[in-house]
Amino acid sequence: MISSVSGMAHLIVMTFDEFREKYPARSPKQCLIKNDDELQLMPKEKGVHSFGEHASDMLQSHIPRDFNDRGNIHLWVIAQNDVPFALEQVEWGKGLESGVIKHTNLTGGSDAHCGGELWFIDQESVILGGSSGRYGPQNEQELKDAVNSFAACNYKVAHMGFDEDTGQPFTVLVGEPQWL
Amino acid sequence: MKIPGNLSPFSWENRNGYNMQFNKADLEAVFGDESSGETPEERARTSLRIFVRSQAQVAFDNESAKGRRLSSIEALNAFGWGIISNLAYRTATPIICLEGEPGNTIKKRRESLGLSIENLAKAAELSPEILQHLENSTTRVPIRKIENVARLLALDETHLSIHSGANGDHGLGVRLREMIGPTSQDATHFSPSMVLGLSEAAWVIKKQTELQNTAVSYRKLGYVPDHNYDYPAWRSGMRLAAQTREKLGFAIGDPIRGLKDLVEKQLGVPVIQAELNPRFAGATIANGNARGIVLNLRGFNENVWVRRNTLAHELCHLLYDPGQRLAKLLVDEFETIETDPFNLSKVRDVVEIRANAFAAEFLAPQEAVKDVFMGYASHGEGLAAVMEMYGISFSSAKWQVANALRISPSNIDASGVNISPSAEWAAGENFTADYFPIEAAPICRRGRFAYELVKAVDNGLITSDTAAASLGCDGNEFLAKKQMIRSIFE
Repeated sequence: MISSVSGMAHLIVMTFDEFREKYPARSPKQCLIKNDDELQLMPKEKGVHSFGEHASDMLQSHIPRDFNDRGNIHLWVIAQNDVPFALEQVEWGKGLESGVIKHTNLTGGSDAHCGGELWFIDQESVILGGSSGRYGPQNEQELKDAVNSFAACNYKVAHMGFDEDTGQPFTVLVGEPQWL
Repeated sequence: MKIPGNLSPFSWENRNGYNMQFNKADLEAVFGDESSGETPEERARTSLRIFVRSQAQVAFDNESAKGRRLSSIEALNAFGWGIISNLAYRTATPIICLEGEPGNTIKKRRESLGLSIENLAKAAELSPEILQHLENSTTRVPIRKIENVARLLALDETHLSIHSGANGDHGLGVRLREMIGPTSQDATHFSPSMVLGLSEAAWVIKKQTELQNTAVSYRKLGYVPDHNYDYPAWRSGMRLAAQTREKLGFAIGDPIRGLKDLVEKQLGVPVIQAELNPRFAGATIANGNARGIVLNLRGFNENVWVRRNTLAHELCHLLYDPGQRLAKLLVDEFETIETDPFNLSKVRDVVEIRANAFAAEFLAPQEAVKDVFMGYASHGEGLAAVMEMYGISFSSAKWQVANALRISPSNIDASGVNISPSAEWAAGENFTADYFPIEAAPICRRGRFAYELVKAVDNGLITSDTAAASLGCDGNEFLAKKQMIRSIFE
């Protein structure tokens, strides 16, 4: 665990390895897997990136605030050895039965530690959400720890938060982003 | 399931005409294996699944959720298939239609009613800072608190976030605003608490009407607006009273007992009890397509006989005044109602003259009153007998007798008449204000509305959480006291 001070904010940063240690890998929820296509591993060259690696072709997005326009959603997974992410509406996914990729397409259906959604607001800033039926964080602390792990990769990170009313991570942002 | 681009996610019910096929796997995933049917509505009506919503999204119910729990049919009606079908693939799905909702709707409505942040915050038991944050969407607020605010503003809390405006009746808002404050052109000069009391009552009227759903409707029973206010308007009021008594099956000499029950059960008109400024007697309110009557329990209405007169007066407005006369809201002061209906120098508004005459004649027809009165040796005994026989107030009895005998009320010697109603009359018009099993329930929600909630829960239409939230208590208390509420009304 790294402790750093940035301006007035005091940030406890957790690396992905530390996250993996705290939250063991688990199988995707089988009941949510609708067809075999959802278990296909998406080839790297079709648009899968690893978080932290330089990538200049990321689609930026506005902040998702309503159901009509949730922007350019990327799916992310803290997998066993890396943190793959890809655009949900990526071309490769259009050929799948569901028409879009699922989190399991980033793992091939393997166990993973956590998953969710993210939006690139600009080249250095991302907003994270924990919405993933298959690998989503099971409580607010897990979401916060996952977000802290992303912050360790030198990105400016904010997250949607955890909705106590529904017991699920928020899927849209209410209020202003709280940057870590 | 793909939704055609030209259809909103809410209009699934309108898609029946398109002969749309719904994906069976999606229907099962959303409504559960135990549900049956080909359409979302059929599935929702047979589903045991519970949903939970917040300010921003809806999900399946789960142990850690603290938000509002909704039955399947409530969720479908609120969000539409276009939104909840996403739960076949996601753990939660957003419901906010526009950035800034539901804060923008709350703010606009508050301002349209002429209320300050402080007025509304106090009534909703929130701090002004939290309310401001809610209105500006700068923070997340628990849905239960937001719903409380919406109910006070006569907004449909089930539409919060999903529909901008939350189905609030704009005309009603304008009318309330016109009547507020010292600068009002209207003589009534409503205070903020009066506005909030009436708008909350308007919310109850709408909800009670929705819960009654296919129950009786006075319009279907043939009570249609009557445009005749020709001079003298009291004649029209008497005609309408006789006509109404006949339709309801009362012979000329029959007293009308249990007036509130009759109005609610036989005519399907919500009668909402409220505690307002003692100057006001009652009101007739239209909220959307729902119309109802508000009765003030304070002031002269504390006497059940006066209250019956007020109710009969408001009933005339509601059944027979055309919509443009009601202007969404018509509030009566005692000064107007407790007046000789045939003395045209006291009340100049023909609408009120007609309603006053209707109320007197509806409760105690002059022909019958005359016979009762003449059966006694003294005026006092005769008046007391009329009051007891027909359950009308002292002043109403005196005017009816005087007008029946074509004499001046001042010629009736009414000294020594007891003006207090008997216990039997008081019990017959029980308004459940003094005793109601759920202490936290606001007065205006303690009437038949509570009973309609109990029935809706028993029929699986709403969750006990919805009923409890509507009554201002928690789900456990509602379930523990449900049977007691039922027994009051059955």
